[in-house]
Amino acid sequence: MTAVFDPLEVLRRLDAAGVAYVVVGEFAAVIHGSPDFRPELEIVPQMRESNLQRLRAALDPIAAQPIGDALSPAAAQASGSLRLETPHGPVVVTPEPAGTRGYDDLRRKATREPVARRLRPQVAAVADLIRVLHERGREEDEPRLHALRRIAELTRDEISRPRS
Amino acid sequence: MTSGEIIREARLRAGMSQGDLAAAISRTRSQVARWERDDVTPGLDTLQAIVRACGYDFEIRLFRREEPDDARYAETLDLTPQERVERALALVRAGAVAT
Repeated sequence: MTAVFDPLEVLRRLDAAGVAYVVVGEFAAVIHGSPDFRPELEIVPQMRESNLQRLRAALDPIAAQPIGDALSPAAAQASGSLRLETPHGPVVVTPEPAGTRGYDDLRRKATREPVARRLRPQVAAVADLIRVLHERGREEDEPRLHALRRIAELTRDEISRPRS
Repeated sequence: MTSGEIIREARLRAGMSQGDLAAAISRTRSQVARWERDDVTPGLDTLQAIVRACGYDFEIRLFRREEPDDARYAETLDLTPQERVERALALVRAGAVAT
C-alpha cells in the first residue's frame, strides 16, 4: 500500500463516524510544537463497544487489515497497540498507553486543538505525553522525552511571563 | 562561580586573611579554608553572612535557562497548532522526514 501521510484525513473520518478518541504520540507532540516527529497518527479510543464499532466503521474501509476482534473492551489491558496501515499513513490504536488508564484518564487534561478548518480533535496534554514516554522507558524515546520536557518548560515560561 | 570562589573573592577584595574572616564570623580559619576549597558548601544564609562580614553582598536572580535546541522549539512554538501541522506535513511531502 503506497501511503501519503495525511493524518487529517483519518481524523476527519473518525469525527464523521462520531468516534471518541484522544490523539497521543508523535502527532500530538507536533500539535504541541515538537519540531521532530515520525509520521504516524496514534489515538486512544474510548473502549466502549459502541465506540469501537464506530472506530471499525471509520477505519476498516481504509485499513489494509480490518480491526475485527483485535480491539474489544475486555482486551483493553491485555492488548498493546494495534498498528494499521492505511493510504493516509500508519494509524496506531492504543487502548491504554503506558502509565495511563486509557481514554478517560487522558481526556481529563486533553484540549481540543484547531489543526485544520473544522477539525478540532482532542489532543493529550504535554504532561501526559511525557508521562507515557517516561513509563515506556525506551532508550529510543529519550530525545522525544527531552524535547517534550523542554517544550513544557518553555510554554510554562511563556504563560507565566506577562505579555508586553 | 562556586560558593568557595565567592567567599575568596569577597575576602580578598576586603583585604582580609582567612584568619581575619574566621574571627569576624566566629569560625575557625580551617573552616574558612574548607569553604574556599569547596570541600564544604555553606547554606545560602551562611554564605550571605560570610560575604556581608567582608563588607559585600550578593543577589540571586532567576533567569530563563537556554538550551541548544531552543531556537528550533521557539520556531514551532510561535506557530498555531494548524500551522505546526501544515509545517509537519510539508516536511513529509518534501521527503525531509523518514517515513
